[in-house]
Amino acid sequence: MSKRKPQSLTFKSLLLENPFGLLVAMLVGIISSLAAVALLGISGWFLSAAGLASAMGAALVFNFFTPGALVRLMAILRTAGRYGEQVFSHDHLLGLLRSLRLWVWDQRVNTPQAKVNKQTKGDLLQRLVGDLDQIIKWPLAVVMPWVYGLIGCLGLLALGAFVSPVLMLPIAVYGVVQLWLMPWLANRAALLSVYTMQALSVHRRSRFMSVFSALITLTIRGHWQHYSERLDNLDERQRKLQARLQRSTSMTKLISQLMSFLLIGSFFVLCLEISDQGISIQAEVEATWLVALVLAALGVNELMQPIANAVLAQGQSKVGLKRLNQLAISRAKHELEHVQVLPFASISLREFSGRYETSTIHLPKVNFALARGGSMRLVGASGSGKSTCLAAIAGDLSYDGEVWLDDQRLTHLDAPSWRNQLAYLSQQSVIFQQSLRANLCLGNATATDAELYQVLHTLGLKEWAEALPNGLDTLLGAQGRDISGGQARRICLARVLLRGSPLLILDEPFDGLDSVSIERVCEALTHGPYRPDFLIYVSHIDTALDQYSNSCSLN
Amino acid sequence: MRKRLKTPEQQFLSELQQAEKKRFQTVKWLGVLIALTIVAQALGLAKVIADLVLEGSFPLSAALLAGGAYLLKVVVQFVREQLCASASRNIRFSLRKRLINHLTKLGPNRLQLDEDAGLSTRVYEQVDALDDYYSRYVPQVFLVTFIPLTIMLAVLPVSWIAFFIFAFTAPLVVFFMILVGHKAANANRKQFKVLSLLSNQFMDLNQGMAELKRLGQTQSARERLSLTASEYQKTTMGVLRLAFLSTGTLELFSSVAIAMVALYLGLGLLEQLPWQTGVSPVSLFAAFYLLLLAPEFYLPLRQLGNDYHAKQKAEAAATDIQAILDVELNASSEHKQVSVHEVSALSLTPMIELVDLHWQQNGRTRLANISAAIQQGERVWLRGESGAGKSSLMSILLGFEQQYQGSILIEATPLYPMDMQAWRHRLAWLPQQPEWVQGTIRQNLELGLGHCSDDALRTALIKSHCWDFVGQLRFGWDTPISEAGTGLSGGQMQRLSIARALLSQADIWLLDEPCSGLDSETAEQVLNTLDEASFGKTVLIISHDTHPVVWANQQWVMTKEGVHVETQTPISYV
Repeated sequence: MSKRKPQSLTFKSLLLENPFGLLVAMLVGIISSLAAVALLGISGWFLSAAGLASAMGAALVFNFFTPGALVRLMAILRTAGRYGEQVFSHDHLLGLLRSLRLWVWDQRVNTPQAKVNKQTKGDLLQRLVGDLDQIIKWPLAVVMPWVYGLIGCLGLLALGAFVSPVLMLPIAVYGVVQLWLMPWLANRAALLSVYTMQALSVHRRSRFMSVFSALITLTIRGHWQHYSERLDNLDERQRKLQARLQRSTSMTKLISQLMSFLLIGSFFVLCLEISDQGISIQAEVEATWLVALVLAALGVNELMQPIANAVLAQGQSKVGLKRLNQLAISRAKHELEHVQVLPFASISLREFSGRYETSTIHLPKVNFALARGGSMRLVGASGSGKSTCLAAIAGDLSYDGEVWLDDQRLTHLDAPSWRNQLAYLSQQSVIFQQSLRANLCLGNATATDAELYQVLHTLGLKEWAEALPNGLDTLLGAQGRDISGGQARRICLARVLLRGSPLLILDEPFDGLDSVSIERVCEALTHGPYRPDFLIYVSHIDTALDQYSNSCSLN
Repeated sequence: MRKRLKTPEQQFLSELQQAEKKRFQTVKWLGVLIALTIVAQALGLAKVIADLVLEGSFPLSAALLAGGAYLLKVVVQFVREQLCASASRNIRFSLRKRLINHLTKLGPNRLQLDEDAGLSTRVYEQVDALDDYYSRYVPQVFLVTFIPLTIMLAVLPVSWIAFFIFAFTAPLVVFFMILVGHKAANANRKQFKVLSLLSNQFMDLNQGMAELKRLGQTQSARERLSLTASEYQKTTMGVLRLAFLSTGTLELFSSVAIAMVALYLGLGLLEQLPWQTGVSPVSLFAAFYLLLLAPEFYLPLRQLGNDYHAKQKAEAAATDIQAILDVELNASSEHKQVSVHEVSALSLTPMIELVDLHWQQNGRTRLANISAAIQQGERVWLRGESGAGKSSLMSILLGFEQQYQGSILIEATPLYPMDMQAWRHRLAWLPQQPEWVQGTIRQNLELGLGHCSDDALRTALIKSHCWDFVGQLRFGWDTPISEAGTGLSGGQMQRLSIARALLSQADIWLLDEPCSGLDSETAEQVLNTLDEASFGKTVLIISHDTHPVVWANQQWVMTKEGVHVETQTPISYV
């Protein structure tokens, strides 16, 4: 598998993710950029030298093959380079996308369950996807243009030194201003706006969600106007920020163009002298090379343009990175991997209760012990914390109290080794956008078709599954969109039953089942193939299962 | 290029563009100015270079022309960019306002389109996706024809050959761009689809993260993510290689053409052209003039190639945005004034009377013919199979749907001529998922009501059986209801919404399956609370047969054919 990523993401780690790929893309890009500048420079020199030779009557001895070939070579290099750069850099970008997604995945896997639930809610995930798309563009939008600009300036510097050493100063100043001073100033002027804009758009969206989730109540009460105005205000602020950012980007471009103007102006000023006959070129400067330099400077000017846009991309990527890093795990992962759960013959819960991280409600505590083969039904009024208790045993929520396996106290209920011992049917039915078979096989990857049909039969789903167009290979929509709630529930139950874990925890397993299926499930759980070593469940329906179970009251 | 029939998306985009017609017009004129400055700059610079090389002198006036043209161009570009950006902003922000306004008026019908989170993506991200289209692509479309034409005309008096090189290569460039671009566009569209599939998979697996953890399947899901991403990378690169080929062809053509011009000029200057040895067809000045114009000739085309994806992005976004606006707003329809009932003094005027009410939408029957009445203080259980139109009736009563036939009389006054605001003030609405905003319990109870006294709040909470659990919270009714759940159960949340209804003093309660998300035990308790709380109010409650409303006076059994009214002896604890 791929290598593990560092704990938090930085720009450096983005660059080092696949340095070879980035380097190749950049090299090709550099060749292409230089070729573009050289194409102008060489053509300029070639033309002026040819013109001069012709004027001096030396046209016949002028070697036009080499420069002619060079011009063609540069043209081809520029094109091939541009193409290669795009291909390589996008390959790199997609690779980055893949590894960033996996990074996010790893962080979420290692996050305590209670927090994962929080992250899943709302539009956080949506935002994550957006942030990822933003960040992967960073090398392409920020780093590469800057490098090309730098190389272009260096090339210009070399040419300048060749034409007349005195020209090196303005070129160096130009390079420093364009590559360091301008981005720095633009950053200072615009970065805050970028941050504000990002923060504002999150705020705006949550306000939108909030207002729309209460739309009908607000409309009925006639107060919609007031709330929608506040939404409009946020939008108006966003608009002003966008305008400001746009202005500063355009301004940067304008100044950068003016700098190029000054640079070329300075070339002329430094290479010319004023005499009685007017202005003429200094004797030691070759006019043909000066022409090449001027044209090359125009080429470099083109290279500088994308740098102006980089400020925005830089700011957005920075915010994106910051947000992604908030996902970074706070707890050392190995702590949980060390927890070992040995086979056990009894479970006992002492003063146990589940708890939501944010809640202050104290739920009733439970005390019970369960020997192998035992079964326990939790009973209690609605809201007494039955489901919370089950979720806490399964490691989905925080808990108070103690859990003992034989004479061993288990402290980390969200350790993978504990989860391996249990199968838990939660209240929410989760259906993945995969085939029916893949959804079921999440419970047991090696289950055969016969086993799958058997469990479907137990739950009364066999006829339905057989009637599906592609049988077990029928694709189920995201979040179980094209199946009924009852079917989704039963598929989840099937998955849990297939796991064949020693401890089975079921939250309302009979919801949405007809009485025949309920009987079959009870039979299968007590005598049949799905009989667990330990069973803890909550059900508002009395079933045959209760005869084999003790009950524990939460009141 | 051939004018093709406009797709609905293009139609929509150009309609939006019309709103900023003036700005885009100015942008066009600025484009003309830019084209002229390009020519002037080349003219000046060529003169400077020619004099410099041949005579060693520096023509000040030509230098001023070149410099002035350059500065003017830069400034005009700046202004043009500002104009385009502000046009794009105007279009986007007013579109957004329109969308939000529209969604508001759609009320519950908006959920036919998407969930609120999905809608917010359309309203914000998708609308912003139009930016590049209006600020870059649209202005560029004009330049892409105008600048090359200007340059060709400017070249004509100087060199026939250069003119022909341009005239021949330009259509070739366009031809190849269309040829490769067409394929690339198709590939690109597929690519968009695959990309969204991949994002969906990522979202899907992430949403089910808790379940995967429970099942110990996170590693295999990771492998799946990794595998599809790698595969995707491979296939995408195939597509992209093709897509970049279109820009590559453009680059190739422009490079080769520039090189050709340069070579022709060089050989011409050296009097080495195979067909006219010994004669120089161009002067050095003319040669530089041509060389400087050559890249500018192809530049707009190349830029358009780069901005082409802006168009695709915009069209994709337009599809989603249009979908919102396409959901009809059914307001302001005409309702035939139904012959006013002779209100007989003897019979009681019903609170709500439905007369031959039915509703057809796009040929589909949303609601079959209903005639029924509810008296003041009566409570009606509306039941029936799904799709029979129960929710449609609610939508109509809430005033979000007005395209129906027949009439609704509220205390003998037809609903629509009536003041909707006044009618809605009398309503309380309890849907399946109670409506909550981020804020404290108190803020949520007072939502849209303004400040309520502590006494009123307490009474409402006690009557709705919320007092016990709200009292247990550390901050009481000042506890925030965050979306992550405060540990309040579904039943408790539903009770809070009963408290809200009580607080509003509404006398007509509309309830749409308030118990459907709850287990039957909790549902029964909530129904009992409702029985107490809604006593004396006029109530219409939709409830599934598994949660019978025993305290109702009437049952309306709704089928696809119509509604069957049965009276029922209420079993009420009040």
